[in-house]
Amino acid sequence: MADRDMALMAHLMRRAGFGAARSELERRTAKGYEATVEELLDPAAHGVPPLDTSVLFRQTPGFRIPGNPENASGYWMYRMIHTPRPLEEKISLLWHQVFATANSKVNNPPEVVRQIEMFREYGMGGYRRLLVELAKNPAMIFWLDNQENHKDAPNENWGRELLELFSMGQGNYTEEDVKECARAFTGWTLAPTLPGVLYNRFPWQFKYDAEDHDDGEKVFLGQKGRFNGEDVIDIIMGHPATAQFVARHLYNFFVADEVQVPSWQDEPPRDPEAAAIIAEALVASDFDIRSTLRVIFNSDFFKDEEVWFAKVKSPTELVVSAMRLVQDFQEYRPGIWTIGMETSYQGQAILNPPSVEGWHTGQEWIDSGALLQRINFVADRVGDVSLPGVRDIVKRLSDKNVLSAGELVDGCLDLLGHVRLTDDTRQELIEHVSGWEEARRGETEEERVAFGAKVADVLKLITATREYQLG
Amino acid sequence: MEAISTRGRVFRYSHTIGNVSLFRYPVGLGLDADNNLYVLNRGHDGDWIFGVNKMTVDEGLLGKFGGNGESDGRFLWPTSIVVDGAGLAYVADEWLNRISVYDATVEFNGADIAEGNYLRKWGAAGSEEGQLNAPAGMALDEAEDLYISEQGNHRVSKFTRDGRFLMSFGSEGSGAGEFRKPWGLTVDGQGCLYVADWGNHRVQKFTAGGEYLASFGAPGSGAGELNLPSDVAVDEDGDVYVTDWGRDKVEVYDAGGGHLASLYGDAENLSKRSREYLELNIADNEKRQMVTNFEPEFRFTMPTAVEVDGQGRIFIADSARLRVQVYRKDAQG
Repeated sequence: MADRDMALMAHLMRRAGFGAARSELERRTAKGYEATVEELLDPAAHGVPPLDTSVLFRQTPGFRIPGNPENASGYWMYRMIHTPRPLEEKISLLWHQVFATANSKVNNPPEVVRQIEMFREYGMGGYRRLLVELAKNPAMIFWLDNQENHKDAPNENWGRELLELFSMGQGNYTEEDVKECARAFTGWTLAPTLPGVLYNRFPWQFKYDAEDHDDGEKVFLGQKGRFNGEDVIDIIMGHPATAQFVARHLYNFFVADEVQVPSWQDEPPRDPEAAAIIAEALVASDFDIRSTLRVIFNSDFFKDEEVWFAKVKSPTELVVSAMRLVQDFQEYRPGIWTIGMETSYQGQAILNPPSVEGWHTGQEWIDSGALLQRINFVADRVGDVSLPGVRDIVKRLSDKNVLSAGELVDGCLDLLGHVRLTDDTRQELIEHVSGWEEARRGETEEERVAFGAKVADVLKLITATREYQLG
Repeated sequence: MEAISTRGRVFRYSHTIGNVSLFRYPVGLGLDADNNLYVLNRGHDGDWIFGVNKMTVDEGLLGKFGGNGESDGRFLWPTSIVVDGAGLAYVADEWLNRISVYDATVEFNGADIAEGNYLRKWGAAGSEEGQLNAPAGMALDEAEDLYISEQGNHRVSKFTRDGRFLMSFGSEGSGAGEFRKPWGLTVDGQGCLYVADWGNHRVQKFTAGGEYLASFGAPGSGAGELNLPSDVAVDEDGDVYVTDWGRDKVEVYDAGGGHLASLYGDAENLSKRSREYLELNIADNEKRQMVTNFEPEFRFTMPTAVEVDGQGRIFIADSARLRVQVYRKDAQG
């Protein structure tokens, strides 16, 4: 099995999933790159079952209708850590970033979780359908006040964000288009729902109130008609800016960090050629996200080593990938909600983004406090040789009786998922480890424990490097 | 609800006990000799304050005991509760692998006495005979020995009430007498044992000594079919009640396994506490008045435990709705 094939698979799994332990990389590399892409894109068609949540709900009944934010984020975190269908969760994470909806205002954790479930269901289908589902999504309606968007008193919040943040981007529409867009979505509201103050939450429901809909003529993006919400989405889908905007989001999330979204109006794409290929794939597939991701993952620009490790891991990617690597929480035990809280300590409170713009990504994930938190979290896990994933790394390195400092460092880098360090950092690590006593597998229990501790120390050192923050 | 009349019996919704102010994910129910109801709350992440509520069947709160924690008298992942003839309550904890014993006859006067009535604990973690791995359901037989299902060891073990091992049977599998993560269990008037075989979507019936007798239900979502059943109770006529946890309903069978009725939850009347809440909170009451479809509020969500008393009452822990729904069975007149 060629080393580059495995490294490329590790790159794919970092982007289309949350990384993979060595055994999974070996299995997938043996299966083949394109076959793995197909499985990730359409797991149901390849016999990959959805995550079975029954034991989770038995152990943690509070996750069935997550009445508080801790349960809600804990539940999604559990899904991301355990899913056999990682791209479904990853695409949900992308749409959560793009269509950022926060429980801080919605104040209904089960509804925010239902929005994520909607992303899981529709997130790899057509973008038009996704926007229609989004426009009808109760949490989104409440988040952007569309229940206050009345025939006689329009509210422009949803209409504005649909154009600015969810489809075309600034500079491609006028203020008048925003107003007309809002008019088209009057009457898209919420049905009265039982308050959750007695017997836990009841699902909110979308309601189309024809009497409160402004059925008058509208002029939107140069077209004239008595448009309703879906007509407006159709016009948006036909505008060239939409393909470019969605393409840039897909590039930013799956290929390499871009500048922050508000700068897209002024700054050209990082890789204009790749952005054009993605935009063309969107148009050619009628905005089918699955087809477009297939083009991306099989493209030269995605496989190019220039874009490997060209993204700063989001806190969610960092935490979930660490948990999947070390295989913590494989056995059910109390406390998964604390892992859900961990990303918030690192600056990404999932289900609670800071604003409708979502989080600033890339380098902005890192500040001195967040960096310390990130390093400590991962180091604590990879340093725990009782965890199955760490035990597996130690066992694999035990194949050889004596390891040089270089072999120990390189072996750990490989087994952490083909992590790539700069030559300087790698050399520095090797020199540091050279000062230790020789890494010898040994025969006695005491020697084996010492060997495991040494491996764990190297893993901790690697996860504390600048490069480990990149994915 | 429309009463369900079937083969000489009538099943009717009676009333609802509790709400969010009283319960957090109730997973276990117990009855004592005076027909007091004990509701065991699992709690949830970030909100573990609820332990066991001792209640009258008409919603009077007599007191609370237990609570979240690892120290003596507390529990982390409680699963079930039984009360013996002397008024001692036994609570199983599937994470700490222990049975905690409380004096439930203590006069509470509605107070939360936390650990004040705690007496002792027993249980050791493991898979050897006499050890416990994730104790799930509990039931007392006529001699007041204790059957315990273990979801981790996929078996049923029997102990004296002070923890002396007597016997065990069953192993992991789907054949007769085998289990997958068994949960609730009960003993009928003849001393036979019924086990909710959660992962096998059935209830199995055994002799007191663990010999397989029969199986109820079949995998599925239709009437009489089961999906991940969590608990079972048998009334004085031998009718069998099963909480179909995975499909949010309760199935009722006769002693021979014939299907009698499916209950989906009928909480058309608010509990006393809910009525009191709405009287005091006008804004929430007004929001309710705008609702046209109350049906979602009637239905079970994750019914987890079921108990029957000697007066035809059927108590169902409607776990994710944070309440107990009570039905009655009467003879068809």
